[in-house]
Amino acid sequence: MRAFRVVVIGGGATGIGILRDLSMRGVTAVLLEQGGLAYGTSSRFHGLLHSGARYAVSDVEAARECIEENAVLRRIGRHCVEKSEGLFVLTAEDDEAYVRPWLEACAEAGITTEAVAPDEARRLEPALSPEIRQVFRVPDGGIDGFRLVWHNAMSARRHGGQVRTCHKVTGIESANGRVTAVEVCDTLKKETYRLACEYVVNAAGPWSGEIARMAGQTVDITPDRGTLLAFNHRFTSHIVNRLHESADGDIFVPHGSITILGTTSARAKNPADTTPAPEEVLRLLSLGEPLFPAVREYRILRAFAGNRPLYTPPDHDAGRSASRNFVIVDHEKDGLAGFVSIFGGKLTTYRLMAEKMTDLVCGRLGVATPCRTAEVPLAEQPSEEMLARAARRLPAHRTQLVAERLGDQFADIVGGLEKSGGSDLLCECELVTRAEVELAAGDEATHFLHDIRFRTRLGMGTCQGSYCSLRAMGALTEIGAPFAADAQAALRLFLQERWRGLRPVMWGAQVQEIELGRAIYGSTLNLNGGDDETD
Amino acid sequence: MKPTDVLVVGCGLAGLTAALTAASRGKTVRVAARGAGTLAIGNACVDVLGYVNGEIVRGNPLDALGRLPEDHPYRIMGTEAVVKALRFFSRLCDENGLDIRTESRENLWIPTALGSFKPTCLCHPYMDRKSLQGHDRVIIAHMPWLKDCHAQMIKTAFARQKGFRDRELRIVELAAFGGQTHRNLTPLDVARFVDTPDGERWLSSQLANHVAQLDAGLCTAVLLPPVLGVERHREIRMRMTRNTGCTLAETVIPPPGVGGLRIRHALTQAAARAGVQIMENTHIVAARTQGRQCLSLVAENNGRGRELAASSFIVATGGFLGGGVVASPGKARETIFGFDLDAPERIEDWGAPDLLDAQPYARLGVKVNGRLNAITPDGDARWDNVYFAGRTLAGYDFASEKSGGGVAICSGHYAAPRC
Amino acid sequence: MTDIAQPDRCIVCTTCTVMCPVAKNCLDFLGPRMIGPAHQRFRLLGMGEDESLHYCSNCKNCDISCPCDVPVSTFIMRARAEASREKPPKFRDWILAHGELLACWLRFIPAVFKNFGMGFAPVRLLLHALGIARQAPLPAFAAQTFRRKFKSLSQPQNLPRQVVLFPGCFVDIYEPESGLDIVAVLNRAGYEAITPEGFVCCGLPLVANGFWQNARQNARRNLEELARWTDRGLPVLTACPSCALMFGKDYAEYFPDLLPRNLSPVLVDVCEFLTGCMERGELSAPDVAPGAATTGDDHILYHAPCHLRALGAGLPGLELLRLIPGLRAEYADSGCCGISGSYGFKKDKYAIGMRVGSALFSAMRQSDAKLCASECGTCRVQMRHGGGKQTLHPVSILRRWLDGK
Repeated sequence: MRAFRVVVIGGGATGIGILRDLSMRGVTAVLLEQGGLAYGTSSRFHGLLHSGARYAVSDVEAARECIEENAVLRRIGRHCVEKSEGLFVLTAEDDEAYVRPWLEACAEAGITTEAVAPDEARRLEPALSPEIRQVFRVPDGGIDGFRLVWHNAMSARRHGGQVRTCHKVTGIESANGRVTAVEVCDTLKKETYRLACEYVVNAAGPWSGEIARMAGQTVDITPDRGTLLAFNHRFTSHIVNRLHESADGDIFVPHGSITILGTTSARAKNPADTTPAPEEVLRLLSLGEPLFPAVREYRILRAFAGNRPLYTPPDHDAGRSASRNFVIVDHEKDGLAGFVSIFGGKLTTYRLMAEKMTDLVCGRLGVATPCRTAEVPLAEQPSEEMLARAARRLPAHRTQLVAERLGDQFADIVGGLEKSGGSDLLCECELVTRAEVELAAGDEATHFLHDIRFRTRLGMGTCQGSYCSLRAMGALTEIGAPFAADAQAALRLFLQERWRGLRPVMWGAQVQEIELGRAIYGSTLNLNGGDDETD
Repeated sequence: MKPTDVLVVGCGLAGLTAALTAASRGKTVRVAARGAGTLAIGNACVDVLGYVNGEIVRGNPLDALGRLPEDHPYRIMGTEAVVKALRFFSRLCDENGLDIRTESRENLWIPTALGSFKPTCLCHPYMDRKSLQGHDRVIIAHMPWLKDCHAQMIKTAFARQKGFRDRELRIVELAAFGGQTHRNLTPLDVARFVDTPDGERWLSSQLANHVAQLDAGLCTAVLLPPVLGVERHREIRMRMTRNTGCTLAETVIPPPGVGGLRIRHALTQAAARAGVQIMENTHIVAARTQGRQCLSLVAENNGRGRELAASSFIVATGGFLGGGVVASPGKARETIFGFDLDAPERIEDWGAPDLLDAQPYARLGVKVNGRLNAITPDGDARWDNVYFAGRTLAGYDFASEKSGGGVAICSGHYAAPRC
Repeated sequence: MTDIAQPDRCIVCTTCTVMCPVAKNCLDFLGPRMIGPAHQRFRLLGMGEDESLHYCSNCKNCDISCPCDVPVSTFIMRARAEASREKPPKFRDWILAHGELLACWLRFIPAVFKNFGMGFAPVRLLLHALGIARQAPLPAFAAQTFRRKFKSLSQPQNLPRQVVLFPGCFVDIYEPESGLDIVAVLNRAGYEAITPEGFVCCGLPLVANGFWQNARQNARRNLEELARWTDRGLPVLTACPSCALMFGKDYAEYFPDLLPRNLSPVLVDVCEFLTGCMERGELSAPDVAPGAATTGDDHILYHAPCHLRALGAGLPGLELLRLIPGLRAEYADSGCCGISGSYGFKKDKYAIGMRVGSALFSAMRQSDAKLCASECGTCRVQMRHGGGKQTLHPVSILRRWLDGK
C-alpha cells in the first residue's frame, strides 16, 4: 500500500513548488528535505524577482520566462513580493555600446524599459554615484525566498501535500528498471524507513547529483558558489543593477529593512560549501563602489553564500556563462523509469519549473488535471475582521508587517496576539512578536531556531540574534517546544550559525556588535563555559 | 580650561576606578566621557578569572594567574596589585552603600538568566550557588509579563545540576504592576519601581504571600531577575529578606543588567564627593605630544577643538565595544593617539571557528610595559605619562576567561598611583 | 560625509534607553533606541511611526550616553518633523513653539495685563483645554524684553573689547534681568556687549514641536548673522545651553545643506567665556560679599541642564561658581529637571516631567543651600516650581557677589 504516489526530494523553491502543484492536481505527494525548508539555495540568493533584463542580451528565452513569471508571482505571491522597481545604471566604468543591444533585447523579450534622467535617478536614490551616465527603469521586484517557500508549503499542505524536514534520503530502490521506493532517515529520531512510490522527483538543487547517484544515474550539474552581503539598512529603495554584461557584484536589492549586494560566481568544493570568505566580501565591496560610492561605510550585517545548481553538460563551461535555463531530465531514457531530475533555472521561474515538471509526472501517472498554480494565490488576504482584531494588539504599522509575513496563518495568530504577552516584541530589530514565534514553533516542519528565523526574520536584524535568540528560547521553553528541551544547546547552534556569517566581516560596527554578543553569551551567560556540576 | 593632575578618558569600570584611586591620593582629576560607559548596562559582579585556556579555575583565582601568558595584563601587573585593587574596590563599594565583595577566596558561581552558572569573584555574596544550594527549596520567581524572565528555562537547567538534585525547585508567578504598557518592560523597569516605596511594598507582599502558602519548615531561597532596586538595593534587600524569611538572590542578565547601574551609581556618587569632574559627551579625538610626553588631549565637539591639559593621562576608552579601538578590514587602530595595533592582516585570522572559544580578535588592544605605558614594537614606552587601562589593553579575552571586570579594576587602580 | 539618516552605528547596547529620563518615568515610551535607530530602518522602508514618538522630550540624554555616536535624538526629531507634515501639530504646540512670535505680537500689551491674563484662572482653564497644564509654571512675560531694555542701557565708555551676545528667547522675553546681569559682568571684564537685531529664535522649540520648516528658516537667518560677526573676529556668547547646542550641533545634523563650508557655528557659553576672563585676569575674583555668611547665600546648589551636558564642554557654570572665593557650589548631579523646554508645560507631559525632576527636587529640598543655580531658563522655572527654591543663572550670582549684594 502506497501512501504517496510521488516523493519530491528537496525543500527549496523548486521542490516545494512541485509539491504544491502535484497536490493541487490531486496527486498524493510527500516532500523530503534533509535540513529545513529553504535551508539551501532558495534562502541564499539576492532576493531579486527578475524582470529578465539581466539576461536579455545573453539569453532572450530565459528573459522572456522571467518577465512572464515575474507577472505571475506578483499576482499569486503578493505577500512575498516587494514591489520595488529596478534601475539599470550605466556607470562610469561601463561600456556605452552595450546599451542599444540591451534595449533591443529587452524589447524583444517583452520587458518594458523606461529611460530615467541621471539627475532624476539621483533624486530617487540619493546614495547613487554622481558619475552615473544612463539609467533605465525595469519591472524588477524583490522576493522573499524564505517566505515564498513557506507559503508554498502551507498551500501544498492545504491540498493534502506532506512536508517532512530533517529527512535525509539514503537510498532509492528500483525493480525492473522502475523506481519502487525511497529509503529515508529521520535524522532527529534517527530512524530509517521506506516510502513506496511510483515516482521520485529529484529537486535537490546542488545536491541533485548526489541523489541521482543513489539511483545509479548521473546528472551534469556543478554547484556554483555565489557569495552575498546583507547590509544593516535600506540605502536604496530600488533594485539597482549595473547596465553591462552580467558580472559579479553588480546587483543591489533592498529587502525589507536591509539591502543585499550580490553575487560572486565560483565553483564550489561541494554542495554544502557555503561558508563565505573575507576576500569575496572585499571584492564585492569594490565591485559595488561604482554604483554606491559609500558602500564601504555601510555596515555589513553578515556575508552568506549559496550554491547554484548549474547545468553543465560535458561540452559546456560552468560559472557565469553557464545557462540559467532549467533542465528536466527524465531518467527513463537512461533505463530508470519513475525518476526525474530538475535543476538549473532561477528562483523567479520556480513556478514554471514546477509546472513543467508536474506536467511530465502527471502525464506519466495519467492525471489530466490542469495546472492552476499561476492563478491561485499562495495565500489569501487576511479578513478585515482579523486585521481589526490584530490592530487592537499591535501598533498600526506592525499589523501589516505581520500580515505579510504570515500569509494564510494570519488568522491563526490573532488568538496568540490576544493572549497576555502575545504581542511582546521578542526581536526588537525585526519587530517579531512572541505570538509569531510560538506559531512558527508549533509547525511540524520547525525543528530549530533557524526555522523560526526563516519564518519570522527573528535574529536577522542589527543585533544578529544577540537579544532575541535568548528571549525566543525562553518563550519556547515556557510552551514546552520539544526542541527547546536543551535550550543551551539550541542557542549555541543558532549563535554558531550566525557567527559563520559574521566572521568574514569583522570590522567597523560589526566587530562592536560581535564584542557585545560575546559579552552577553560568553561573559554574562557563560553559555560555553564548562561547569563541574552539570551532568 | 585649567589643567588637572590627571585626565582620565572613559567612565566605565576602569576609568572610574582610576579616577577614584587618583582622587583618593589627593590628585585633581577630570574624566572625559564619551557615552555612559558599559557599566550602565552590565551586571553587579566583577569577574576576575574563571577559565584559563578553557579549563575551569578551581580554588582561588589569584593562584591561577601564573598560568596565564606573560603578556596578559594580570601578569604584567602582578598578583599583589590584583589583590590590592580588589580590596580597594570592595571598600569603595561598601562606603557607598553597595554590597559587592568576596566572602571566600574562591570564585563564586552565580546564576544567569539562562539557568547556567558563571564564575565570578566580587558580587552580592548571596548570589553564590553554594548559598542557593544551602536551602531546601529554591523558588524561581516568574514574571510572565516580563519578556526577559525565563523561569522555566532556569528550572530545567537547575534540575540538571547535581547540587540541586534533592532540592525542591518551584516556580511562582508574580502579578504585574501598573497594567498594560505600550513598552515591554525590562527587569530595570521593575527594579526602578521597587526603588520607590510603592514598588517595594508591591514586591515584598507578593513574595511574602507566596512563601506563606508553602510549608514553613523548609529553608527557602527566592531567585529573581535583578529587580531588587537600583539606588536603594542594599536596604531593600535587607528589609525584604526580613519580611519574607527567605534568602533573596538575583540572576545576571543581558543588557540592561541593572546591577551595573548600581555600581555606576555608587561610583559616580563617590566621584562627585571626591571632586572628580566628569565631562560628559566629550569626544577625545587626538593628542598633543612632545617627545615621550603627552601635553594635552584634544576634545572635539560641535566642530570645535578644545585642549584638555594634564600632567598624566589614563586612557580607559574600552575595546571595540567602547570605541577605544576601531577595526577596518585587517587593521586595528587605537583611537586617540592613532597608532596601529598588532593585528593579523588576514581577516580569517581574527576569528576562531567557535564563537565562544578564545578569539584572537578579542586579545587585540594596546600592548603595554610594566607601568601600563603603551609600547612600540621594539618595546619602548611611547609616552611616559600616558597609561592604558581596561579593555583598551591587549592580551586578554574577557568573554572566554571571565576576566573583564577584574582587569578593568586592577588596571585602573594600578595606573593611578603612577600619575 | 555619511548620510546622517543611516542607522548603522547603533549596536543595540540599550544604554540610551537605560539613561533616558522619559523612558524611566513613562512606561508607554518605547525609548530612544526603538524610536530612534531601530525604527529608522523601518522608516526607510516606508513604515509608519510608532504611537509613542511624541513622548520624546528631546533632552538628549540618549546622545550623551551613546557609546557609538549615534545621532539618536536627530532621528527622533526628524521623524517628528515628518509626522507633523502628515498630521499638523496641535495649536497648543504652536503656542509653545512660537514664544518669540507671540511675544512680538503681544508687545504692545503691557506686561501687567499679559501676565494678569496668563495667571488669570479662566485663561489658565482655556490654556488647559488647549493642552497646557493648569499646574505648570508658565513663566511671566517681562515688562520689557531684554532687547528693548538693552537699547536704553548705557554701557561704560571706552571698553577695550567687544563681544556679541545672543540672549536666547527665554532671557529676552521672560527674564531680561539675567541678560542685564551678563552685560554688567561683561562690562566689568572690559567687554562691550553687542546684541544684534538680526538673530532670531534658535529654532529648538520649533523642532521639538514639529515645526521643521520654520526652524529651518530661523537657522538660515541665524547662520548668516553669525557669519557676519565671526567674520569680524568677535566671539558670539549665549547664556542658554540649548541655543548653543542648536547652533553647534543640531544645525549640522538637521540642516547640513545650510552650513557654510569650514564654519563651525559656535555660540560660546557665557560662563566658559567668563571663566576664561578670570583665568586671564580680565575679571578679578571678588572678595567675600559682606553679610553673605549670615544670609546663608554662600552655599549654592548647582544643576547642570541636559543640553549643557550634551555640549561636551564640561560644566563651566559650576567652575565659574567655584572660582568665587568663599562660595561653596555643590553639584546636584540629579539628572534631568523634566521641563525640557516646553515639554513639561504640556498637559499630557506635565506629570512625566515632574516625575523626571523628582530626584533634583528632593536634592534641592535636602540641600542646605537656599539658592540654586542653573544656566537654562526653563530649568530654573521648573526648579523653582518643583524644588521651591530661588534659582538664578550662575552669572547673576556672580554679579550679586561682584556688587556685594
